[in-house]
Amino acid sequence: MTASPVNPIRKYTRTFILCVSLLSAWWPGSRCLAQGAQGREKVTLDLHKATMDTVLLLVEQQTGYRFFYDTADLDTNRIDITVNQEPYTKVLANIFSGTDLSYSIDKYGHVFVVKGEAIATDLPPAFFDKTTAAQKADVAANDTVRDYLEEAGKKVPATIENKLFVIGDKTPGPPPRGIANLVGYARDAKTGEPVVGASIWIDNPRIGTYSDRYGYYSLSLPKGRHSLNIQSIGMRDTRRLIFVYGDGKLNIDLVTQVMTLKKVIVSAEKVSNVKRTEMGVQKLDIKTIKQVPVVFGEADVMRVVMTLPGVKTVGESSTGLNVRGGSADQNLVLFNDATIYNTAHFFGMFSVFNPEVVKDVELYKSSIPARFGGRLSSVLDISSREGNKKAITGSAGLGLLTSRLNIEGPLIKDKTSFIIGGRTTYANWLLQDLPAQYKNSRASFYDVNLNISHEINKKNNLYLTGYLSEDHFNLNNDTTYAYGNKNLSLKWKHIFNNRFYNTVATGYDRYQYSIGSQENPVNAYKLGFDINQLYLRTYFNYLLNSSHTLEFGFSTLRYKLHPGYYVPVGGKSLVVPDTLQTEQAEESALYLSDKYTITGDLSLEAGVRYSVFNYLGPSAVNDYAPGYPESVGTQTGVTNYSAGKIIKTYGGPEYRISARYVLTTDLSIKAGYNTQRQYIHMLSNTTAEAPTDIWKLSDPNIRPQSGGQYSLGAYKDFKHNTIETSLEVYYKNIDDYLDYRSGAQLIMNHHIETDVLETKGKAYGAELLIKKLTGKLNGWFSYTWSRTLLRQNNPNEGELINGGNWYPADYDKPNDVTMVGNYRINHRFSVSLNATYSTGRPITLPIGVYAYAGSLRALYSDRNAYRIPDYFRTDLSMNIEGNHKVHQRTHNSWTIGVYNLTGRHNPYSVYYVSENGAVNGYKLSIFGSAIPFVNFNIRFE
Amino acid sequence: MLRTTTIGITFIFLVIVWGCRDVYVSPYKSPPTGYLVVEGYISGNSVTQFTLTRTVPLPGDPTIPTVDGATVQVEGSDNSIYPLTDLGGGIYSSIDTLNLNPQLRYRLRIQTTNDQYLSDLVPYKSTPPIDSINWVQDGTRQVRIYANTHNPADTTGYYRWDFTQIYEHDAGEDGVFYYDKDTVPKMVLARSPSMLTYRCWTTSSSTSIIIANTTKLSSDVIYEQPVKTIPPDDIQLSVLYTILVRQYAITADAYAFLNLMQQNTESLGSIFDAQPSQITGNIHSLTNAGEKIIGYVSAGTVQQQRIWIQRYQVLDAYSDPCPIKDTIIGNDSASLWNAFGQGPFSPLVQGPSCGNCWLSNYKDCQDCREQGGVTQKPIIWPN
Repeated sequence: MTASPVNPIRKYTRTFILCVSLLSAWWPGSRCLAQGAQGREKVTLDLHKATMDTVLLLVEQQTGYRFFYDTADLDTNRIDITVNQEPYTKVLANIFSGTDLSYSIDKYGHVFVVKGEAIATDLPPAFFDKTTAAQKADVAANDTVRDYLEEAGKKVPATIENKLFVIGDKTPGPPPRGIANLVGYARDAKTGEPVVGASIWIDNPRIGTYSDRYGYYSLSLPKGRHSLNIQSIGMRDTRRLIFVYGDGKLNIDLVTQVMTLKKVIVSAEKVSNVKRTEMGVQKLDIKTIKQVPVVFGEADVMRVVMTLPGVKTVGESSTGLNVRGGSADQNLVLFNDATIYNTAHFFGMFSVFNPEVVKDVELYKSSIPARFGGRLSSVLDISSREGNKKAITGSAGLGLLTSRLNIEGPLIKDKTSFIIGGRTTYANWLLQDLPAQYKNSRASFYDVNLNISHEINKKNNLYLTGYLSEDHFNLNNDTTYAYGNKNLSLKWKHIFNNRFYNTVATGYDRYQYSIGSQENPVNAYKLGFDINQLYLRTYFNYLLNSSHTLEFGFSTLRYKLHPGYYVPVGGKSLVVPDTLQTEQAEESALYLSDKYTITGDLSLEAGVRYSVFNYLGPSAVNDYAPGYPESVGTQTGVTNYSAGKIIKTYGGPEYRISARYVLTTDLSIKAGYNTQRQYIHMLSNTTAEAPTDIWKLSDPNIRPQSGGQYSLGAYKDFKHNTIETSLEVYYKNIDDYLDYRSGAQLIMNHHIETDVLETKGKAYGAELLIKKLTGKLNGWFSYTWSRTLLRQNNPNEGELINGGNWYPADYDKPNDVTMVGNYRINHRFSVSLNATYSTGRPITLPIGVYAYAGSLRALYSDRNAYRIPDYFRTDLSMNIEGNHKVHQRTHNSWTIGVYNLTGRHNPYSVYYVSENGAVNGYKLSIFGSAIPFVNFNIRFE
Repeated sequence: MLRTTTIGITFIFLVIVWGCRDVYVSPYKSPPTGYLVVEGYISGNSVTQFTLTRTVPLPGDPTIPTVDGATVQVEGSDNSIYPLTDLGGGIYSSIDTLNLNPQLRYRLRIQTTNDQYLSDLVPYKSTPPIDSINWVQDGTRQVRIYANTHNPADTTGYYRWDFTQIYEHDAGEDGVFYYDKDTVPKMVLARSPSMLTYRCWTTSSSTSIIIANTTKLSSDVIYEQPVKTIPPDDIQLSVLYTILVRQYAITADAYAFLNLMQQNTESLGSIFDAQPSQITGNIHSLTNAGEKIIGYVSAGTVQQQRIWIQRYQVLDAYSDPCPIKDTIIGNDSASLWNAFGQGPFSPLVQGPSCGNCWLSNYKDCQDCREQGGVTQKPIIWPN
């Protein structure tokens, strides 16, 4: 809500303005300029570069007139004015001349200042008579038609719904025919940030589109007069009257929706699953994410993604996602354009994404657009916010374990903005509870985000993203342990013309970890790993005509991995420095896809991505006897390759096809098929993704993973599209997925290929999602039934697992039910509840006991033949906002809640251990009781 | 391994802070197994001994069945044969030290009633002597016992240790009387020397797998390899403690076998630990291919060293939990029967000041066997 009085005493003004605006919308044709009924007062002013606010305040003090206006309309205007005892009306005319502002004065001395048309202060004479159709037509005909020429440099943001915008060069004569193209940006009127996913459409014929991640939209529509409707979640619905003569631009400023309790937004065209061609795509904005209670109360992007259907995780404190039966390394996690290799802080208790900086999260688990590649299962695309382009603002949060601070604002007003956010922890107090021998342990983490967006001109934009995260853990002062991400990316967006734009992104990503121990001076060591990548990605979007939109581009990625080094620390250490040879490779891809609207009901999106992977020298590659399992015994020699030499090339096409057929306006069906290739593998034989897992490139001895997925879905909206439902089924196969021999040595292994097995996987399932994101009660319910099975039945690979039969993967949890709910009791108070149930994950349980080395020991047999007990958890949180006065300097809110409300001991792992000679079985729960939390957040400007 | 340990420990921290650990009873019924388990060492400088047992289902009776009546022999790569004697209880042992040739390789052959088993031939690994066994008491008052060794020839690489420990632990009170309730009249009598229960000795062996390797070091040096940790204020260090540490040089394969067994059975159970996997040794069935046999046969020499730790050498040594003797029991037969015959007390001193009443204490405090252990003094005990 941006309408505001000149001074805060007049609290009633806001409502008043609303009423008047409404009136003006009802009666757009009438003009009512200053009549000067009370304009006899004299005014004296001498101001230079004064804001409109100041000028109007002074006029008000001298005359007793009262001004009403929307601050957003005035804030760009600066005025030089010198008048001495001039009549009031003359002064006002002077003030508003050369602006696009109009004013009108009613009989009570209220002055209404608006952009564009002046407000009618009286009802038209025939208002209370039934308005006839003829009159309506008359009104429409009297609309002021103005040229809207952006090129003229006159900044005219479209904020008035009843103004007619002329698109293209106005031609005299009969109405134009043919198709024209309209583009522009949807922005937040207050902050200047792009509005993503706004639905923009005309009713007749029904043509629509959505704004992209930059707020950019492009629409092909018949020439002529239209009403352009714009809707976006969290924004006030609006429309623009346009008269299209040819291609043109129209930027749309949207006003934040102040949620009113009585108002339920019923809309026909929200970004709806029914209408999208893609399937298996889920999008969450940060507002939704922040409502979901999580342990320690800090909004956690990854945790909320885990509540979506088809997304599983092996355990409570694991951030590794298993999407539709894929392993944790088969997800491409992008933060803006940067690849984040480790998404967890503090062993998985927190995700590395600062909720104050994140704008939204999009998960692609089925139709992965052709522009993405390199991972088999999913793409998690996390976008950060752009900074406020109008004013410096900020926010801060205080929790039991972490604190965060975020500042944003313009560097050049309306052109360049920045946002910088940081988080840190003070978890050391937790470690006080540890047993005496670990008392000296220390844990800490931090992360820093910096985003700068710059508008070079109307056609060129630059985006800079910097990201840094670090974790440190010091075990009892002698084992130190650190890991972190570093990312830097620069993106340039260029608009060639209305139908054609592109982005070019380049950047550097790094993930590294190290462990060092000096506990024993002779064995003191430091062990480390890092992965580095440099990339260049181009993306072109070409609107061929109203039924074809082409996307194409090229990307290349240069990997450089240091798979491990192990070096001595201190003078007494006898550790021999050992370094695994550096790995390098180039992964490139060309892609093309077409969004083809065959009829209004049937549309198809088909793409192909051709990826090529070159494993590059210098390298010494181990050779093995063909036809035998790769083992130390079958190694025949080593081949040396020089720097830059292409040692091995893998590649092939990947297909991305999805189709949608709309049966009725609120029911559609979709089908999809897509294939993927993955050239980098995470090596981990632990159940959960650990920060110290290392990555391995495909090489002559380790083939890339590949996979395909067939999916089918039905989508239906209920209750005027406020309830969205979907049912999707899928079948997926995975080839050359890496598994491990028993007792595999994964770190500092010079012949890792002898310890891995290339296995096959298959996954299938059904996912039901019911989602309601508007209204007092909102949230979603998801149910997933799925299986994920693996098999290693090739004796040439070596060891057969479970006799070569299919066995369940660690994250195979057939039944999974999640409910996320939020109930808004009033503006300042809402309650969130989530509940989740899932089948226990498979585990390898002992089948017997034997005696060895002085103790009874557990005997293990088939892998993953049993399951841990089922999982159930409920969390509750209350979000309490401070008062909602718009123009106070700070806004604060509290989040109070309880994680694991029922205090259930959810087994996280079940294990048997030999202790003092006996075998004991234990269930381990990470959160063995209800965990209360509190978080304080403050926003300031 | 090193990696998972660190993360595992850290992870356990989090569990300690918020989590909890409950006993787990598997709802699943184990299939019958009865696999052969072979444990022992072909030794060139001490008695060679093997133990044959079988696996049992879990849960259930943890009594491990032994394999008796088998024929067990050590075979050299020169076709030499060294039969072992069945000592009963699944133990098969050589009478004397076997006269083995370090240049040869050796294996084990087992003939049970129905099946025959044969191990792979393994090299004879000479174990370097233990340089020292030392101990320190750290800041948290734990006593840590370490082994140090090195091989100047740099040929060992993989090591294994086990130990046997004995400690003396005395009762809180040196009771010289006892209440004889089995003879008539029931009365308090003085104990004969064989009935004294003041001094006890407990003998036990290592229960965990202790292994290390030096393959990442520039020379074959083991420095302060942890062997045993005794918690603060522990009864093991209440009087006198001794540990005999044995050291074995093993092959890389034997190390891998023990390492996997350790991961499978001694890890902390967090999800950052490697998952349990099937374990296979170097013993195979000749009659039933594919039969699972647990065990790894190694050959070579054994080195050992013993150290002693006296009570006075440690800070904050064990404090006796027995309450002070303050229970007074009258010297009439009813009181004696109530306190000593039926009650938990035992007579200590007869006090003339209270009319020949008995100052008494709990029986536990006069009987060291209550803490485990036997009253038979070990041969090696110094006094």
